[in-house]
Amino acid sequence: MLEQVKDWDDDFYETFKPIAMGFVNEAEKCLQCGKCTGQCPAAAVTPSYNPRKIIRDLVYGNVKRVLSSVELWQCFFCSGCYSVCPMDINFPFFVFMFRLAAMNEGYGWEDVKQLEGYAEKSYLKDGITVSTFERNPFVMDNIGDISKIRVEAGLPPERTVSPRGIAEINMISDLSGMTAFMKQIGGVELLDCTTCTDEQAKRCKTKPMPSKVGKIKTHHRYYNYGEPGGKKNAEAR
Amino acid sequence: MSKKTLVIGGGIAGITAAQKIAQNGGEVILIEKEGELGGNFAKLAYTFPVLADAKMIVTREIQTAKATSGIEILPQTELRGVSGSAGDFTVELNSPSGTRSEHVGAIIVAAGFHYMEPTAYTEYSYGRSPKVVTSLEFEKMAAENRLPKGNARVVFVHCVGSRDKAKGYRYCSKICCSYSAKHAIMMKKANPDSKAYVFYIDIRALGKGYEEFIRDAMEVYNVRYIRGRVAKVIESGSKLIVRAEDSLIGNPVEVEADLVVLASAMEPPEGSRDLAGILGIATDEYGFFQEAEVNVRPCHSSKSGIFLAGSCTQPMEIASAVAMGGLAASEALTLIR
Amino acid sequence: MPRLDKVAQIPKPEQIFFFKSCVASNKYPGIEACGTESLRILGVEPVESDEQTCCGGFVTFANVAAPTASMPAVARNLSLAEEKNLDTCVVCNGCWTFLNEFGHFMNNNAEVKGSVNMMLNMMGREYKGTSHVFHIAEMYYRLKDDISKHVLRPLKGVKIATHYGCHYLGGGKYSAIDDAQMPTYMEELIDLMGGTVVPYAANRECCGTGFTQIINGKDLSLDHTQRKLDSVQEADPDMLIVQCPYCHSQLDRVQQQLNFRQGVNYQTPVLHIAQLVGMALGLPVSQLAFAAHVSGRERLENVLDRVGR
Repeated sequence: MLEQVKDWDDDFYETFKPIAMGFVNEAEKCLQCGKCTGQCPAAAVTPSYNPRKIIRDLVYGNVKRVLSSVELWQCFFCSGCYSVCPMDINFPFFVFMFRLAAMNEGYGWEDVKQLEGYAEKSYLKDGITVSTFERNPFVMDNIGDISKIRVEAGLPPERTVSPRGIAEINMISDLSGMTAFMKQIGGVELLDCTTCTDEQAKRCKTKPMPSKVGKIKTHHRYYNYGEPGGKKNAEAR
Repeated sequence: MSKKTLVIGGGIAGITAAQKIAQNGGEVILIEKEGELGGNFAKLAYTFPVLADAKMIVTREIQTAKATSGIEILPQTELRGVSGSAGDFTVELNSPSGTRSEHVGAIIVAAGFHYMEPTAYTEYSYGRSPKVVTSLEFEKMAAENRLPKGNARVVFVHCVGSRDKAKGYRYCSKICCSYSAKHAIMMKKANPDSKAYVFYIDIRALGKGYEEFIRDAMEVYNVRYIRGRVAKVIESGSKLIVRAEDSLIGNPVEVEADLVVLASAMEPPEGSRDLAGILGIATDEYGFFQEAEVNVRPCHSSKSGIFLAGSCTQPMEIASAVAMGGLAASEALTLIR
Repeated sequence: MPRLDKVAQIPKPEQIFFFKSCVASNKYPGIEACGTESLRILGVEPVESDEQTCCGGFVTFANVAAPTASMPAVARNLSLAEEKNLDTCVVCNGCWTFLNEFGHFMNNNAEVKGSVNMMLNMMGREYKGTSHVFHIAEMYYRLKDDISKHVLRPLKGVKIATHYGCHYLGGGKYSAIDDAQMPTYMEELIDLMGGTVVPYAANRECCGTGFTQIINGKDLSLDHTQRKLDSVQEADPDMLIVQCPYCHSQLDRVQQQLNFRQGVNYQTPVLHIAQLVGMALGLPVSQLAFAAHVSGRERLENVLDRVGR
């Protein structure tokens, strides 16, 4: 499709920098050499994901393409790109800040919603983000009761955070707006996978995206940088 | 005609400068810290963009210098001290046989360059795998007939240490594109069954015949040029896995290679800042000697009476180094006459 | 090659604030048990606090918490160590990066630090930025002489492969104690404890968790982990050593998932470096807590038979 350069947001990068609070640095130094993509684990498994192109769109201000893309949400946060970047561009931080910007535009909320439970049900309730809960029946059968293993290892049956600690992180969450944010995306219950029948699981793969997550109207995301990823597609090429 | 000229460095720029001064009736002291003249040029097998026998050319130039009266060649000699001003310098020269003092009217610095040791490039397995070599080592392998035999894949990596703020230098080393093409051609000539892949960011073929030379590598010798900087070289059994992005397509690619050649950056000669300190001249942020004016006075240093020649000022190819040697010689001649 | 100048900067304290990791506590308790116990044997008393919460890295990088929310949480956790005048020791690459990265950010940004402290003051705490964060693997390398003195169960004949994890070496390429692409300190430790290092091609590849990809983009995540596991399988080590509980969980559990989905048979036990050191230092088998491991349990038992229980 013919792109109009006049549609690019010339000032985006400059206005983005202060919002990103100094976390992101010097994307304008990018040489477009492709060293990042060459070592990227996500790019190795999905042909369309390409950090180099995302940086380019950021610097040139083709924001629409980045923010509405599926690719933005495919980063592994492995920092491999940063570790080899000849210009020391910390790309994972760009992705992180970019995802916030995309959410601002109504993209990606369904992904965030899937993760919100960890914050609401584990982090804020117990002070520990990863709980002892297991959903994989094989793992449940094999490991059994984790608290028994903890006791055998000489630990208390359960790791607990003191009520004061939990109160304090909840206070931080309230004060910083995190609680309000979670209320915004609350209200939509995602399917509980353990209760799915085979029939439901099959449908799940082609399940249409919810048009609303909580109170947020979500937008559809596109594969803006190429053919969709995954092994199947890679083999089909 | 009373005063001598001191030429520091016996590479092609220094040899040229010494020849031109002597041929015009001047007297030259040519010092070289190694045992032999020739510098980096003498380490090459072929020249570019015309594939000519480098050894033959450099030997011829050294012979001419040796045969020219008025040139005193001092190998294994280094400059220890300088005093005085333009037209009347006193220099202290140190060699294994002792220290001597000389009066000279002008000084030409032709200290050459150094190929960066890419030890920081651990992602390329340099120093770990014997199959990852620098271009200089490749030249040696070619000269000793040790290039991979049979159906081998050879990968050439551009910009190792150049255009790299994190581990190398921000500048472009200018000639790596051309010499990598030369190496790829050498590889294909030595072993037509081999396959050569060159990973590049941009192809910088500046100068007469350069573009044609690199196009020949692609068109005549079937060298595959892939746009993308190599990200990783991983040892896997007896092979090397080279991973990069083919950025014109936008897809990561992997090459199973038998040899990886790193085009390491041209960096300032070792001890260039010390030498600049002794001479009292300025260097740039990298340690190359700073010219007084980039465009029309490229061989004037920041100090009157001291001139610069060759790749100690910036990465440059042989032809430019020779031209600059000649220019420095004529500048020195105006001062000592 | 480890950067010895960086290693030299690591102190050998009498006490250290032991920062517990979520995954280590709730999925692989052996990491927590061996971490504290091994430090004790090496002469560093771990000090814990039940007021310490999760570092907050996961919810932040899941975009649920904005940096404005996680910054005070980091400061709060670090202030617990500061109150006791101790440096912090973490067992997880994620905790290490997150505490370090956000800690540095606050230390270099007076304005943010001020506003964070305003919040902390309301709960009677203060963040000063005086507690240095060290990874337990760094501590082990610093204390390697003590380790060699205390080896009770030499790992003779045990073939061990390493996986360093991205967030320590890659993300912290300027602050980690080793080179991002060619690290060797774990190999040195394995050598020291008598084990045999097994190299494999995909050593520096990501484990495939991809932070949230294992939840949001599971296909990509599994694809990548499989590539890694294939390479490990080829080298056939007795165990794969990680230094991050999150990599641990991915590499351990995904083997079972792939076995189930594809009918393949990956059975490589995955151990945290703390468990390996604990094993060599002769901790009771129950403290190694292999019962919480999913893959390669038989092989682990076999290793225990060889090195002695």
